[in-house]
Amino acid sequence: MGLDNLKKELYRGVVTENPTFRIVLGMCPTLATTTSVQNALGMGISVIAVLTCSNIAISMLRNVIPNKVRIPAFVVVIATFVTVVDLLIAAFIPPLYEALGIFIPLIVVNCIILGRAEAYAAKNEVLPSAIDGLVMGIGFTCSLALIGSIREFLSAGTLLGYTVVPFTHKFILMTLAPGAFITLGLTLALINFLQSKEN
Amino acid sequence: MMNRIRKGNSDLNLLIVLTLFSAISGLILALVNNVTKDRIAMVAVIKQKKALMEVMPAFDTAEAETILADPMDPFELFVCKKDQKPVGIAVMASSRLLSAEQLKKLAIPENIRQDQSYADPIKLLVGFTIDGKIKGVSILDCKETPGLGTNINTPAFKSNYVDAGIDLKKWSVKKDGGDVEQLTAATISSRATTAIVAKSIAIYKNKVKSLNLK
Repeated sequence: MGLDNLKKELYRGVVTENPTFRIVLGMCPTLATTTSVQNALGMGISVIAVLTCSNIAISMLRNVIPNKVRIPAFVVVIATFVTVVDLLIAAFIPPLYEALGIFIPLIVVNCIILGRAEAYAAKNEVLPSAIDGLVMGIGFTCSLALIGSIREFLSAGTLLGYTVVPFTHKFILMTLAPGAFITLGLTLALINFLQSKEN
Repeated sequence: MMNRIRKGNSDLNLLIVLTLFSAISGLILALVNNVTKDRIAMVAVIKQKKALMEVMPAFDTAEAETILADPMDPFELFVCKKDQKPVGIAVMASSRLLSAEQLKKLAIPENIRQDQSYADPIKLLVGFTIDGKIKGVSILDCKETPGLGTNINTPAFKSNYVDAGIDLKKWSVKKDGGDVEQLTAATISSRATTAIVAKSIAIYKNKVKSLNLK
């Protein structure tokens, strides 16, 4: 696979098939972990790692899994995988676990992982599946970082913890659940509007 | 490939495949757990030692005592000494619900608030100087909501406790008429943390009495 192809794939993951804004999957972690840019990146990076590896695993097993029970089989594979990653990080890279530990169990319930297993990895060879996991993960991370920066900036005037505009009062609504829904809704609307103009 | 998938759809085959998958994943989990559990326990011990340095005045020996045994979530007490003299006591406690029997064993008043955390029990190490002040609070385990409940681990929130006296009546959040400034959007986590500190104070008071310092 050439560099051009890779770029095309990346464009697909981040723009045309963006998991959050175009496929609209994985809304729960999107809403829950975008209170700040740092949290959004933490979740995004964990998803990149797990999605790439679970796509590889599913793609390797795709010929053994009967069609009728593929979903439960995928769930078993993904849940096992996430638990293994969780334990390994906790044992061997404690500083990383301190930073990302709370996000890893949340990944099990992330529909993107199952969605990509079903829509892509179950039908494709190992290498393309790995690349699909990688670009989809990057797309997910980008959208989370976008929502996270909007919410963090509007709530406290900071980005990644650094003050951009000093606020005298915090706009707490943006860090709460309603802020998540408002930001996600408006961003989705804006992206759909831009898309419809393009067509 | 399609042929193989269709052929694999007989009921018996489904049963075999799913059973195999579950068995293999169980095996993998058991193996990984075996490899990692000692290291995870070691990491926790190191973390605990670091936390102890953080919440105690300078000391050279620490005697640990398990006051409530539990494989996952024990309550422990550390008497820290310098030149053979006790300088501080640290209490490791969590927000899990204690039964009346357990409260009795720890000699904690039965009517104490037992506010629960939002997720898994929060674990704290609360350090007291021997003259009855809170020296520091360290959060050993917290799985609260990222960005909201996890803010209990900020200096601003912890300053509610540090250097505070230990009058038990005031140990609740402002919403409940106490002195502790609760976190916005994380009252439950604030309540749970405060309840653990209150329990630790009761444990500390009993220990100081038994040490017979004066």
